[in-house]
Amino acid sequence: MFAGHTHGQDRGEQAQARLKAIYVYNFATLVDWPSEYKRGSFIIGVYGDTKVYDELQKNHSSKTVGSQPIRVKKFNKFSEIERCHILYVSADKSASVAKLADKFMPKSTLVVTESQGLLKDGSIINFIVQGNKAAYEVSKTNAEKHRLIINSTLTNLAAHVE
Amino acid sequence: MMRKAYILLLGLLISGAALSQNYTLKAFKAYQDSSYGVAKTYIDSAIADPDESQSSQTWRIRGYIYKAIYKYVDEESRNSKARPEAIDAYVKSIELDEEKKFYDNNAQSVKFLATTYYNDAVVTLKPETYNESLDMYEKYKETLKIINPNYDFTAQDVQFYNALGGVYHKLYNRDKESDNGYFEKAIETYKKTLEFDKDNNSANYNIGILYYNKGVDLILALDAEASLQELVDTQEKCVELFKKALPYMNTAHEQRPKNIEIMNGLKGIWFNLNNKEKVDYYDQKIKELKEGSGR
Repeated sequence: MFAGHTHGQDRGEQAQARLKAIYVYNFATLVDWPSEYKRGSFIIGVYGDTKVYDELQKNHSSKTVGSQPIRVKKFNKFSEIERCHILYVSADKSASVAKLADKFMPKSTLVVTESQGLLKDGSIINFIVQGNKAAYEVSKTNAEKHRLIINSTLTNLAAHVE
Repeated sequence: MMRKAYILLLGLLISGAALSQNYTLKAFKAYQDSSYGVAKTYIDSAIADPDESQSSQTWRIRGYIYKAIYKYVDEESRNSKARPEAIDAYVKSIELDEEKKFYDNNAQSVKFLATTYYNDAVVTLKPETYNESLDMYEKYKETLKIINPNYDFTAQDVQFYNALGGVYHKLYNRDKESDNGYFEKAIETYKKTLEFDKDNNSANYNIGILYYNKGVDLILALDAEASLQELVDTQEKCVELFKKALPYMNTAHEQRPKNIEIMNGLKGIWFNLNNKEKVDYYDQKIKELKEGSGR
């Protein structure tokens, strides 16, 4: 009856993960790290259960940020998390954001989250929903604490900037 | 069949006096002998004769002969010229048959030939030959209307256009990247089905799926290095598509509230509209249904 046409539920989830992965790649290119972070690989860490990791690994691990080759790492436990340029924290790990922000306070790690209200917990860029679309909010205050400089292109297109 | 033929022959012999050269009789005899080529020659002469061409019987026999040519010589080829000739002959016979002596028989033959067009429409309703199918389907309707001008084709139209929508859908899926127009054609054709039958579940579901998949495809086609602006612009287009999908998928769901595939469709749409509440709602409903059915 349905002529074999399926909605491909996995494809739908993959689509949203793809979007977020591309956003993360843009964050990588539109944030400025201190000079000591501009050597070696550019590390994007993913903490939690999210298809964003798969998309980053598949489509961005062969790319570079400036001259730094991107490496994508998956952290399953809090204790595994090590130094990285960007740390993407999935929704299921939102409760640990405040602890993470403290852990990375001396370090220049761009903490990216995807649950309501996490800028106040120390996240620097937080995905939100605006008009049924994935959007993001930015905390320049938190960014400054981590010695990160956010490009105006990023803030201009943000839904909200603190 | 043989009895009918002899009655026909008798009728011809009796009326033979009114027919000068009686090409019709000769044509009929050749037809009986399965000499269709000879029969054709005689009957073509019959309709050129000023007397015989005014006989309903002559045209009826012409109908028989050309129908036989279509069936046995042309082997029911879709391109057979004999088929429309047979139909025209029966029509002419009906026009000349004032007393309606042969009406039932003529009408039965026309109906048979109409059905052959329908069968051809079904057989050719495939990606490679859908244009031919459209042509055959129109001919089916035109032919049947000859004997029944008020025939209600709604049921057949619903089935045909729904299936045609499926063909366009397949063609679109085969090559999504080309702007081949099949997406729009599929949508239009499924919507045409809904004009005949607004509650058609399959059409509602398929329109929903088409819009939803188009939105998903747009996102999946994004370059890995797409800019922030491109992400914003693409999402605008996609949200429009997902919102177009929603009413059709909702209708499909209302019609079949326990269908898991439809609920998964709705879940996918709401997921891409970033509405967690609705996603959780359908997740729960699907879970309950599966538990209820022991799956």
